[in-house]
Amino acid sequence: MLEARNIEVRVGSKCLLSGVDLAVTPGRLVAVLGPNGAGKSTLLRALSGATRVARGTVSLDGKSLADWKRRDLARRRAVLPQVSFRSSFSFTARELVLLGRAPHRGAQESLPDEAVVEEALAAADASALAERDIATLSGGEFQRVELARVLAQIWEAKAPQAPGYLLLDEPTASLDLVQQDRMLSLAQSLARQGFGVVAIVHDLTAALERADEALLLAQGRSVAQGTIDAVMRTEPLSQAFGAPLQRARLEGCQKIAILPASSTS
Amino acid sequence: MAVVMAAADRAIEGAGSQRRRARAQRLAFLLLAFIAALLAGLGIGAVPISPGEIAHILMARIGLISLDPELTTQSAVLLSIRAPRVVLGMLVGGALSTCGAALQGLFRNPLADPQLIGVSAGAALAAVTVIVFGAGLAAVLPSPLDLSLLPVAAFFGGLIVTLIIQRMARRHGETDVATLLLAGIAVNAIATAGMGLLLFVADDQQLRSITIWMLGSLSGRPWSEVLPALPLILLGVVGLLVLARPLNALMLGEREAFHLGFDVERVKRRMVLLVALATGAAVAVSGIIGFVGLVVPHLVRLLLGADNRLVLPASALTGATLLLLADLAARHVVLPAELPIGILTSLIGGPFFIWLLLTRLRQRNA
Repeated sequence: MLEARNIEVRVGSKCLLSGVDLAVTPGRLVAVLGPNGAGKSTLLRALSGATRVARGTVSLDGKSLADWKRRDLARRRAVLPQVSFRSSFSFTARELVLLGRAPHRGAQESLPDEAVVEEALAAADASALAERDIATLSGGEFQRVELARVLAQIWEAKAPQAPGYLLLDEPTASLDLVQQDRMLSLAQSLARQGFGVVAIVHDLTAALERADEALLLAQGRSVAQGTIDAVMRTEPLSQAFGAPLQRARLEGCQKIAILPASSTS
Repeated sequence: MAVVMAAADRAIEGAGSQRRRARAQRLAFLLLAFIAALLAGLGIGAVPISPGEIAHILMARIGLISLDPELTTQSAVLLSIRAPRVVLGMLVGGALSTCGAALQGLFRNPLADPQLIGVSAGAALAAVTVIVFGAGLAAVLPSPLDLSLLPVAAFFGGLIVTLIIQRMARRHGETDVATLLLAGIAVNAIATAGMGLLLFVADDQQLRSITIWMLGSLSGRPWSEVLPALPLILLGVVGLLVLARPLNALMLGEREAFHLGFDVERVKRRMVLLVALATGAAVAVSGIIGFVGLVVPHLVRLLLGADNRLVLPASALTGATLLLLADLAARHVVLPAELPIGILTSLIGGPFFIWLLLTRLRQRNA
């Protein structure tokens, strides 16, 4: 289990995150929700070990992240960056995904890199892009290749005794509606395959549809957390976003949309 | 469906192996070009020496055969004039190109180069300072310390500049490239002014050697000056080659390299030290030879792709080749005089840099 307990993150005198708990279990997709500046990315950085916590602990399998060897940790958790830096150098998608295999170099228990790269590309729905130069990919295509890269990094961690954790920092940012849905449905299916997945999501409707659990943050604090249905109530949402939100059942299907409550209706 | 998938798989694998084969061929081409440049560098000149004669002289030198008396002149020219020069060219070209490739990966920008960001100038300023004020110091140092004073000073000069530049260009844990290049301009200006000051106080003989440093030249260095740079450059280049994998990860971004399990700060510190070491040593023996570190990694990436495990060694090889060829040209374009090689590389490299800037601008606008 990847677990943050009562963590606090500070930059200088500014408190970015305070008293936040989050337990990520394998097989579950956890959505991290909240307005801009709520501390969502900070939480993800703390979970990945990139940011030190001022108070509280972040642990994987009960062992504090600081006590993990870098490479061992890298084989268990991977991070899909928010705005992926698209290298100015010329790479094919397959070469980019192969870079994700770095922590497996010389590791006895690891599978052959070539095979993992192909499987990760397939799992991220990016096999057809393998030979393309990354500079020529669209935003959605590049995001799927990046997903394949981070998957390749923790591919062996599908086994239940040492499950892997995927941290997705706004995986749907700057994607069109259909690509957003495709990305979240990939995240959902990866959770079903045994990974523990945390994703920062802005589209509340999409989060409600795809996620199993949610953590709602505002101003660095937890406003609500638990199963997705329990969090997606108008009160905590309106409180967190500082504006009235409403749930609306969409006509002709079972989906529920979360929308700003417009003053005229 | 399964048949189609299998066919697609084969097509993809076919494309992969085709790519690998093309790379192997290009690598072989680079190797052949290097050997040709080596033989040309050793053989062409006022006293022409054929490859066969070169082999004969070298075998005689290590005592396998006795020297043909008719080749006495050739032997002297080869062993004490051309060989040190060619070795120097290989070392300097290889060092600058490997450093260029490493800096480009480290700063995640294909426009970085030891000269552009001022590392060479810092090294040269330190070297020139030693030339002007260090004579007394060198006189009291025992051999071979007196001869390594220059390379060591150049190393520290390069190191200090690299550290300053790196500090200045960092914003929120990322390296800002515009700042990097601007800082390079500033450092270059300051170092050039410093060298100007030293020119002002230097005597005639020092003046001559400072000019050569500022223009860059492989000319007239005996073995005794080439050899002290050899271990420093080899250490720097080999050290960088070993860091190819973390450098690959760094090309994704510093945080991504951390996520992949690399000790980013340690890798960066090492790279900066190694770049300063190799560049400093190269500048100490050849002065400022610009644009090699910019142009060569680009050519190599065009041929072989961006994987640093290939790019770094191939840059070392190709840098050696290109500098040997440039030196050959520098020796012959204005006969009987000799053009400082730094002028030649800048004449070729400057326009290349402009072209590179324009293409990138166009890409960004598109």
